[in-house]
Amino acid sequence: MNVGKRILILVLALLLVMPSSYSAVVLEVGSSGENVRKVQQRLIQYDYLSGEADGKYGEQTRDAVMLFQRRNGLTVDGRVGPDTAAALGVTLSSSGSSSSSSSATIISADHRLLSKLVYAEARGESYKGQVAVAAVVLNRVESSSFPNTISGVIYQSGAFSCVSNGSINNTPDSTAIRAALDALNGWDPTGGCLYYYNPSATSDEWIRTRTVKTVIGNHYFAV
Amino acid sequence: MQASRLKDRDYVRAALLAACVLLVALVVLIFKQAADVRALSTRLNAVYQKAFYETCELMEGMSTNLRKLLVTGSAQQEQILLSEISRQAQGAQDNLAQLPLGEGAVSATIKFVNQAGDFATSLAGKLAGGAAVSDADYETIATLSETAGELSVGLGELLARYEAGEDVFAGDYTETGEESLYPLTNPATSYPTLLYDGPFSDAAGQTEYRALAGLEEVDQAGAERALRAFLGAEAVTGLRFENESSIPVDCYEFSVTANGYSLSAGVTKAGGQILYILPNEDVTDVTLTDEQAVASARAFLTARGYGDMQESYFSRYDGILTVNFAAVQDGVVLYPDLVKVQVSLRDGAIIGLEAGGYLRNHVQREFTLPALSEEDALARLGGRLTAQTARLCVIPENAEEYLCYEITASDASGEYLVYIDAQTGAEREILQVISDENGALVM
Repeated sequence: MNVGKRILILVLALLLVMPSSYSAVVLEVGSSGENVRKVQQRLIQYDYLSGEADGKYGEQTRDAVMLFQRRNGLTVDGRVGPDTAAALGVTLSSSGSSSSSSSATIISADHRLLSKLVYAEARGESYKGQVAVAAVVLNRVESSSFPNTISGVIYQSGAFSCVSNGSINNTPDSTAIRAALDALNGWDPTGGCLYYYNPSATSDEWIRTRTVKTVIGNHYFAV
Repeated sequence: MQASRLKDRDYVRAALLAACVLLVALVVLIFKQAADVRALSTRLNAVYQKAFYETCELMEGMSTNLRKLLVTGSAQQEQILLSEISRQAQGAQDNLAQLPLGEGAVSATIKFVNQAGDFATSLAGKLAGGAAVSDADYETIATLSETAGELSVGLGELLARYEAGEDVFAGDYTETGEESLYPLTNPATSYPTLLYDGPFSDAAGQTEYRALAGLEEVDQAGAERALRAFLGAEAVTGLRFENESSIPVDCYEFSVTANGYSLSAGVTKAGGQILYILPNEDVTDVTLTDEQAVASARAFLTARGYGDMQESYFSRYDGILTVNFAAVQDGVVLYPDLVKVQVSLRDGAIIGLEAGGYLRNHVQREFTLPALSEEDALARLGGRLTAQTARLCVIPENAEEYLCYEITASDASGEYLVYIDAQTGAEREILQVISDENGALVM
């Protein structure tokens, strides 16, 4: 094969790959699941579709999508890609398998947020280490030196790295959910600690001046 | 040969063209991204600015209202000012926490506004109960007002510098020496300890383990023996010492396998008491009913010598049932003396325990006879509620304990627990009971 041909193929391949790294989920006839259900709910809400959102992308759904696309100046292809989804106000979740975390019960919004923090900050730790991280959040809520709600503490500016790097938005597993619940129920293997840090990972000198009360896995817990 | 050479040149030309297209696309993309980033950072800046302005505004308002509180002669005005102050304090706290100034730089300020709001709520409650503003209260108000005034000036100055383009959010400026901005965001070090009853008062945070007082110290081997005995000597198949801790009592920490469950446990050095047990693994299979599991937990506590315990509620998570028990003395339920037990619904094994409340509070109580009879207490119940049962109990509030009548009552909207102070007749607390398929919760 000659050089020119190779360059052309390479460039074309690049052109093809580039947009696809942006592309997310596309729904079409035959798709099913939570994403489809969300789209159907919006279509029903906007009167493009009647009946119930059953999560199955059939011909009725396709016709409704095409009508919606026509009326909203979108490419009429009967498929829901990022543009159509955005116009519908629906966020398509990319992982098709919404990690079946068994019957894990989340009892409140607080519990959900705390579970997400535990999963993001301590999923590699032992169960005790996960409860301990949740307990630190709850101890801060009780403390006068921190905000007075779980969300206030977690989203306090600069308080948790998982908020700045976005990993808090991952879906928690059932262990993290249970750890958050045990902490809400009063278990606190840190006995009132307000800080924790990984001594081999932190560059924060100030936090090293706090009194360490216990060590659980990779984390030092301090007041 | 000639044809193929020609073709080759065509390919090169096409490739160059495609590369140009790609380049143009990239440039467009980069400009678009840059515009997006600019839009986002402008929006974020607006959020910070709003938080900054609002903090200053609320702090100023709080300072003014505290000064007015010092001079007002009207009880109604006092109440209005106090509720304003707690609202402003809460708002200032919300906004302060949003500013990227660094945890260390704002924690003392957050503590100040939390305490100011807390004090206002506590004083409003006191005044509503018929008391008057004391001299000590006036002194506290004067201090709070002065500090709030200083802080609003400091924050205002910081805001001005931020507006002038200085990057006041840059990193941790608390250690940058002479040019430190720290004094601007922090109350003066002389700001004294505030004495009042509230969850954020300086007295509230102290924890003492009263049930451990006077108990003899055990060594690591003694703690290990205590843990084996607690879980059942024959049930324990593995036990490993992990580390020592002070959480906040001094403890030995163990990993232990009992009845096939992997557990973590903390045993106090004083008296070798079990402070907590946590089950490491989820339990998903259920063979026991909730009632059987509660009975199993109760039998366990009785066998371990906890004496008279009353279960208050339970909740289920997969195959683990958590049951709350409170100690009982002379028929009075002692809610501060709480033990929570986790039972595996697979086989009824005890796999979790939380005895912090019990070890902190469980001592013999000296009860004074209640001034109110049960009938008196029931008569004070809100008009919408119908009472079912009443009993005496002790509930904690801001490091104090109060003897109350606990009245189970309901109306069309649901079931409630109402706590009427047995001495003063004041309604101290009201809880809603929420029952669902996972158990009963009180909120």
